[in-house]
Amino acid sequence: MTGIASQVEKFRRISIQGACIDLVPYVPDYALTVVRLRNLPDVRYFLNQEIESTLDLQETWYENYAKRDDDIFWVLKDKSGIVVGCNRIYDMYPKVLEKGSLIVDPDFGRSLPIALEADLLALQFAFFEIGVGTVITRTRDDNIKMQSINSRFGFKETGQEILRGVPYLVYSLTKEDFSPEPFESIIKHWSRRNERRKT
Amino acid sequence: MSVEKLKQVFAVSLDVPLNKIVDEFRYNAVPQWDSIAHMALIAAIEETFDILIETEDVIDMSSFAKAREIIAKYGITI
Repeated sequence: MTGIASQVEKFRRISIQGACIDLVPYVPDYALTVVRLRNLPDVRYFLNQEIESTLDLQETWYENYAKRDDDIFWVLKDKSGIVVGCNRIYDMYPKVLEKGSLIVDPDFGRSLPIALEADLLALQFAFFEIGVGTVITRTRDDNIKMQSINSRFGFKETGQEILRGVPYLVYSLTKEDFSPEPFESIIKHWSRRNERRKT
Repeated sequence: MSVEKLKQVFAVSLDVPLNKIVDEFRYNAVPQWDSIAHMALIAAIEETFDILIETEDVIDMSSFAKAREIIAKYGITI
């Protein structure tokens, strides 16, 4: 088992705690929720998923996922334990990995910083726990909002690719160009406001 | 005065020129107004005007005109 493979085995058992959401490693208990998220029309379009996701397909995916040692899939849980999305890092090599498949439940996406914290935690994990120097991501060329998010995190467009017949833009972010501080202050604000709302 | 302050908040949070911030400035029509920018915008509005915006208003804030309307509800003269 390589260094990264043994880390993946360990990290698939550990949740990453955030201020507003947590990244929780996928287990089959979440299959129904993930199938529901994957079948949302916008998600199907932007993930270029031609066929409808089903529990059977999800089970097959999990069997393959369990055999892979370079892939971590998380569900995103808010602090009350509700699954509000999912995120993933995969194709891990010693110095580079890919981030993708971010899904945010639209019922929660504009009332909590889910996309922000999900990507921020995944990037911090990639750079500072896994220890890669570069994270790449591919975004459908008409996914304007995600392209804007990529830019905010400092991703640079490095090329274009056709995936399953659809043009995608390829982005790259180096550890040196990653500066989480402005995002951390936004998340702190939201964490504080959520606490204030409870009282 | 508060309208100008609100325009400044929009321009800085969404990283767009001040002169683009008009009532017709809408979430769906502006690439930079993504979900992360929306979170930054709400945080900046709350800090600037010292208010706590209700969740339904956070979701409803989909244009500059709507933001003016929502902020007025919190006793800010706009």
